[in-house]
Amino acid sequence: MQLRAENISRRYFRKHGEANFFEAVRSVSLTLESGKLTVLNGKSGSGKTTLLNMIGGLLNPSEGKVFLDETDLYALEDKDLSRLRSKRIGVIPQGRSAVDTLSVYENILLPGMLYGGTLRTEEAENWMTVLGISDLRNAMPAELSGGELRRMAIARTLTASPEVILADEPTGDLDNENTRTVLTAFQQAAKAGKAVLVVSHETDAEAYADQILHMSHGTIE
Amino acid sequence: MKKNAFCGILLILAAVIALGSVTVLGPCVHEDGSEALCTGAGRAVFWSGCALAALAILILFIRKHSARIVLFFLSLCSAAAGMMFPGIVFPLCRMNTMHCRAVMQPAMIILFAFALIVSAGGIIVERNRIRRESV
Amino acid sequence: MKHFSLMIRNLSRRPGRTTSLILLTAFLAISVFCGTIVVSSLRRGLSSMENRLGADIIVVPAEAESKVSMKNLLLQGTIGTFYMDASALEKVRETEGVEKASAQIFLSSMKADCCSVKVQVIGFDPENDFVVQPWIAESLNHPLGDMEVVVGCRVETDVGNSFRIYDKSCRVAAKLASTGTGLDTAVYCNMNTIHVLLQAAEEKEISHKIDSGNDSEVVSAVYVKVLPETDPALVNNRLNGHVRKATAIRTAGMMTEVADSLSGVSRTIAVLICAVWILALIILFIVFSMMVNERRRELAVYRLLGMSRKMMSGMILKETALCSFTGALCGTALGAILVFPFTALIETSLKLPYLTPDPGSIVFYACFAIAVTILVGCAAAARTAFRLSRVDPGTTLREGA
Repeated sequence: MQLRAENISRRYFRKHGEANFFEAVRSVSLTLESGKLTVLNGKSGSGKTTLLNMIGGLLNPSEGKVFLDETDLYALEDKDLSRLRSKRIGVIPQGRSAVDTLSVYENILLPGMLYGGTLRTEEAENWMTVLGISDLRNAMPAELSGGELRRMAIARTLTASPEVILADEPTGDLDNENTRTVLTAFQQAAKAGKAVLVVSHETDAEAYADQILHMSHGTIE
Repeated sequence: MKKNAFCGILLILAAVIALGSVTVLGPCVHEDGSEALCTGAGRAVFWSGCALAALAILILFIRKHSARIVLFFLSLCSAAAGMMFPGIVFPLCRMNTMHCRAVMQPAMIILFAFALIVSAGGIIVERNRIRRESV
Repeated sequence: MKHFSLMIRNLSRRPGRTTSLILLTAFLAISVFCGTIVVSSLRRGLSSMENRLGADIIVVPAEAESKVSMKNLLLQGTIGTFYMDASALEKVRETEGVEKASAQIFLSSMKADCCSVKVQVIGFDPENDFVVQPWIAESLNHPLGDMEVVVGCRVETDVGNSFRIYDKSCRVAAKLASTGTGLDTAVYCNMNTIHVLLQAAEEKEISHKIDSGNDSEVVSAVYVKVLPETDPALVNNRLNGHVRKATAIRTAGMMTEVADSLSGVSRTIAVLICAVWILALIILFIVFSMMVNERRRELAVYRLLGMSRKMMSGMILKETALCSFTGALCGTALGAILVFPFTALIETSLKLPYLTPDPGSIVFYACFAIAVTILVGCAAAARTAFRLSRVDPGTTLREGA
């Protein structure tokens, strides 16, 4: 399995300022392969999240293409792309990503609820234990701290077991011990054949990486 | 507040029944001041409303769940009886267009039916509380 | 099934939002259901009155109109006792253009043991009556005998019971079907019986003021059917000229008056329903617009996890439809509680013929109210569903992270 970005760019239009648009990502090519953990680092505002959203099928590039194996993601209809993302790509976003009306456990099982099929309850229990949130299973998101919410989002993606895992600053809210736990979990996932991309502006993740990429001013150096 | 929601609603319904039965929801009144055939039904409804109000006030002040169940059951019986007072137990005037038949009877049946549902709800809630406390 | 349970969780864990949606839609359903039932009852009442009246012209004593309006006598059962010489019937029959003429005698009972108030007793001649008999025939399969009465549906007594008027016992031979008019509160008997009752009233010194002397030589009203293809207005004028001390009134005029009042009431109800709907729609749009901001983040998560735009719009619309259905069901039930037990009150308040529709029509109107409410709820939510389905999950989830 291979996730491949070919010369993708993303331009945003500005209403104010000197230039009427700016380029968040400039002609980036990148390949994520199964079994590898890739770390993408760079300063804030360097275009990491935009790149992650584009290769995750969430943001249409202004130029270039993204392929999952031979499938051009943005050539698909919204219905097919959504289904593909649900089954094959797991994105852990930067902010809060919990559905407030569902408990922690329900949030973790949520991807399985969207398109039917059996719920991965055993995997959910396992990842909740690994990430230290098993005692929060019936808690509601409003009752959780930022770190607990982040671990819940990670447990949700790992439970869904997609082929590609894209994590945006997954250790941002975590202490050292939990950072290690999470990065070890991603490493295990990569060893199990997943393609993992961890976006971070810190250096903690680099020790676990098979491939390290650096991003600056919208390009990968 | 939640604990007394049912008896609060019951008290409001009882007050509407009792006050209604002596005002707009009451029996027919003859121009010459003489008693109509439905006056007895009106009185019975008034006293049923008073009984319901008294029971609701008692429930408000009693904490013991079993005693509250008994009182809710009594209010359920009063409401059931109240529903039958106008027209079945006590006679009403014989013309459907008269006030007692056009207003008092339907209004009282609806109000007593609500009181009956609220009382039944109160019994269920109190029983659940007993069960939860015994666990 | 999993989607459905997700929907139920979303709704039950946002009780404030869900309750306000249910209440609003219930409000809509009440207005549609009650409005439709009242308007259709009025229409049915009018058509029933037209069917029952059967006569083109009514001839009454000249002073009758000052005593009581014929419209009120028919619509509200207002008691009317007025008499004229029985020779008026013959004079009417002699008039050119008259096909049939039938006399009736009115008597108001005192506080009869039947009731706490007076009832209108109407005596008719079974041999040449064409007004009451066809209608009575629906409930009675033999000629009405002496000291037998037929009661309107709103008189609370049963067939076979005895009915005392002026201490004379009459047997209830039949009970009539509802007409939605004042005729529902009347008691009908034949001419022999009404004369016995008139005699009894006089014996009890109840002054009905029969100016014409002998009570067997009086009538209260003569109902006239004009010959086919004859202008009733012309016959009416002839009757006014030919029959002394009497006034001929065209029933068509009466019906037009009633129909005008009915259309006035219908218009008022329609305006009220429109006002309620506009208000409720504005509130619904505001509620849904507020929901766009409230649910943006939640729906961005669904989108992130792989929900398609179509599925998201569908989920919002299904949630709204579920709330609207619950509200519509509660509203229709509440509307039924308001409108059916108080039929008599509505009828007396509107002072118009009022006949509740048959059960089949009621079920149809209930389904109509529920369907319309669900449609309106979903239409109000459609714009919100569209806007929310366009949420960009990447940007939304980063906002205020």
